[in-house]
Order: sequence, then C-alpha cells, then structure tokens
Amino acid sequence: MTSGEDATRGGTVEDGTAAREASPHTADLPRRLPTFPFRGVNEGVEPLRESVETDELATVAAANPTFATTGVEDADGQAVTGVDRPRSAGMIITIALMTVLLIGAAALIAYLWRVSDAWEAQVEDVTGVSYGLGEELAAEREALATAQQSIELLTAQLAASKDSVSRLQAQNAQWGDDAALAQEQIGLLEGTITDATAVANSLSRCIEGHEQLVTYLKTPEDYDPTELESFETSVTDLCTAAKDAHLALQQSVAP
Amino acid sequence: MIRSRVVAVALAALALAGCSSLPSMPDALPDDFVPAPSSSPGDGPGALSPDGFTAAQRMTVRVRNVGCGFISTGTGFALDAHTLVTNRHVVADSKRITITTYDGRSIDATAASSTTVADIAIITTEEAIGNAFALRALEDPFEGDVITVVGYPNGGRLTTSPGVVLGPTTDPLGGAVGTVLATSANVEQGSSGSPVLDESGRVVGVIYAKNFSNQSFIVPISTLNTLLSENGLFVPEASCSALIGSVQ
Repeated sequence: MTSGEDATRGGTVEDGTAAREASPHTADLPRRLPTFPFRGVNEGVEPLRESVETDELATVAAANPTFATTGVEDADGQAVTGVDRPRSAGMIITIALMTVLLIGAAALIAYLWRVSDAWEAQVEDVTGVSYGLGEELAAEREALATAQQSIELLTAQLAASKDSVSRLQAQNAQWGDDAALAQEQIGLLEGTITDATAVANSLSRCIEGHEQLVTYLKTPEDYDPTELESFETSVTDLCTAAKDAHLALQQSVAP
Repeated sequence: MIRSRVVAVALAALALAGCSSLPSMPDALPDDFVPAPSSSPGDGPGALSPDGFTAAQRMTVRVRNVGCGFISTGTGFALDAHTLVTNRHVVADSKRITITTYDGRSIDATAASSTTVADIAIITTEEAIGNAFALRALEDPFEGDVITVVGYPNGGRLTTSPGVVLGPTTDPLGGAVGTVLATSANVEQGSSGSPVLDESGRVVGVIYAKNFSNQSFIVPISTLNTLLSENGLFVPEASCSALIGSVQ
C-alpha cells in the first residue's frame, strides 16, 4: 500500500462518524467517504477490503473508539466488532465465482477448440468432395457436349429417315393405287374377254346352225317341213342373239 | 448475500443463454452429394416417340376406296386398334377399302358404316392399325382457336397444315344436321376425313369439305362424340359390287 492510499482511507474512517451524524447532503464533505461504514454488510465494500488489513483496522479502532462499537452492524442491528468475517466470505465467494468462471471459460475454450477442429476437418472433407465433384462435372460436361453433338447428328438422321419413310410411304401408297387400278382394269378386261368368248361361242353356234341348216336343205324330202322351219327359226334366233352380243361387245370395248 | 446469489443465478442464466448460441459440431457429411433424378425423359408430355413421328401422325391413315370403276383416296384417324373415323363420301360406293398407315403398312378394311346425320363414317379392320389413337376433346373449339390438320392431301405424303377456327356456319353442302365449323386450314382433295387437332393434340373436328376461298369445313367434335355414343345412327355402307349384283 502506498502512503497516499493509507492517508486517504484513514481520513475516510476518521471522518465516517461525523459523516454518519451529519446530513448526507452536507455539501462540504466528500460524497464518497460516508458510504463505507454505513453500507454495512458485504456489498459495496470490496474496494476497501482488499486494501485494509485487520491490524490496521484495529489501529483505526483504537484511534477512534466510536468506530469500534458503532462502525458495523449486522442485519439485526447488533454491532459487529470486526469486518474480517464478511470480507473473508466475500473473498471466498469472489474466488469461487472467479474459479467457476475460469473453469467455464476453460471448458468453453476447449469446446470451441473441438468445434473448430471438427469444422476444419469437415471443410477439408467438403473441399475434397468438391474437387471430386468438379472433376466428375467436367467429365460429365465433356460427355454432354459429345452427346449433344451425337443428338444433333441423330436428329438430322432422324429427320432424313422420317422424310424417307414419308416419301416411301407415299410411293408405296401410290403404287398401291396403281396396282388397284391395274387390278380393276384386269378385272374389266377379264370380263370383256369372257364376254368376247361368249360372243364368239354364240357366233360359232350360229355358223354351225347355218351349216347344219344347209345340210338339211340339200335333201329336204328327207325331213319334215315343219321341223325344218322350226330349226331355221331357232338358228335365226341364235344368230340374232349372237349378233346383238357382238354389237354390245364392240360398244363396250370402244374407246 | 442475497444479492450475491441473485448475481450468481443471473450469471448462470446468462451462461446458459450464451450456451444456446454457441456453435455446434458439424453434422456428418452425406454419403452422396448427387441428388436422384426427379423425372425420366420418357415421362413428360414431350416424350420421344418410338420412331420420330408424332402421335397425331401415327394415328392418321390414308384410306383407298376401290370402287366399281374408280379409285379414290381420303384420310382417317384411329379411335382404337381396330376402328377409325373418316368421311362418308370417302367410303361411298366402295368395293374394297384399304388402309395405309404412316409407315407404309397396308390393311384391308373389313366393314364400313356411315350416317346420314353428318359426313362421318366408321371403318373397322381385323388387323391392328397401330398403337397411337385419337384423344377426343369434350367441347368444340372457339373462334380464333389455333388448329392443326394432319392428312394426305391429293393422296400424297402425310402433311400437317396449321390454321385457325373462323367460326360456326351452316353446311355448305347442305347434308349435315346442325352447324359445322369453318377454318382457315389449307386442305386438298384427299384430306377428307383428316383429324383437326387443337394445341393440346386433342381431336376437335373432322375435315370434310372446302370452298373456293380455300376455307375448310369440319364436322365439330361434339357431333362426332354424339354419333359415336349412339351406335344406332350408323348403318352399314352398301358395296357397289353388291348393288351391281342386286341389279343384275
């Protein structure tokens, strides 16, 4: 302790009795001095506890008997003959609090250290994964570019193939139309040929009938005249029908 | 003493509150950073077709009507594997009907039936037509709606023609019951029976006529849906060979 501090604190203690008797609003007294003896129990005395020794207090008490009996009172108003007990308790509490705070701070630092290490390790892992993903991304981009080129090529080929399919389909359909038309024409021609064959047969039978009639007429006395006339009529009808069919055939095939 | 305890409790509470804001240990890294794909390229509406042709192109067929002394062509579209829709005048007076698919397959029709209510006919086949079928809309398109006509104009290549709906009108040929729709889609002979698709690919009508202003006319889908829901409105189409035989 410095002598200056002693002188100050001594002055504070000495002036304390007068300050306790005087009004707290007395202007000519230092405001800070009266607070020490009257704050009493524990709080508010820490600045002086650390700097005032018990022996010094005894000395102060001896120099000022009023302070020894009236300087400190407990909660029941009983005078406390010394201030070493509350100061020691305050000190213990302070040390305990400081210890707790110190332990807590140490635990907090350790925890934050571990957390920092864990995050650092994870950042390294993520960085490694990121580089791996980056390499995969680069490879995929390269593959994608290649695939896009292939797609463009295949798209062009597909368009060409579709065009070919449509063109061939149209040709095929047109050929189908032509084939169907040819088939119809063949059917019509077959019908015409059939009709012509029938006409030819009719004409042939007409000729045969005429030839047979000529043969009959060479020896008419050998036949019944009625039968001859009937045969001639039937031959005439047959030839008329054949001529009509022939005329119809000619008309049907006329362009 | 009490104040010291209060201070100690306050400090303890402050310490506990401070612990809640302390940084925690890092979680374990995931085994795989690459997420699983959320969809397959074959799942969406833009899925690739098996051969590059759209569903509308695959369901559209070319109809060849081999009649008695004539051959005509038209267009139709598949309702299912063995049934397709076309125009009545496409299959009229037929002796034999042949279907040609977009990829060149020829399929003989087994029967054809038509209705007098509209220029609509149904063709059935024994062999499967394909695996792409028409999705019919539930209501008619409105004026200004964008449409697409898929067909075989002039009996040639499969063609897609865009257009818009011009609005309802009466049948210019006078044979249909109710109103029909006029469109700006350019069609030719051979396009009769072509499906008219909206922007969603659903069938909203059937092409059946055109005028000199290059406006095309379609049987609206509401009429087609009504006809298909009542099979009694369709009667078998008479064959020209049968008619010839009956006359003879």
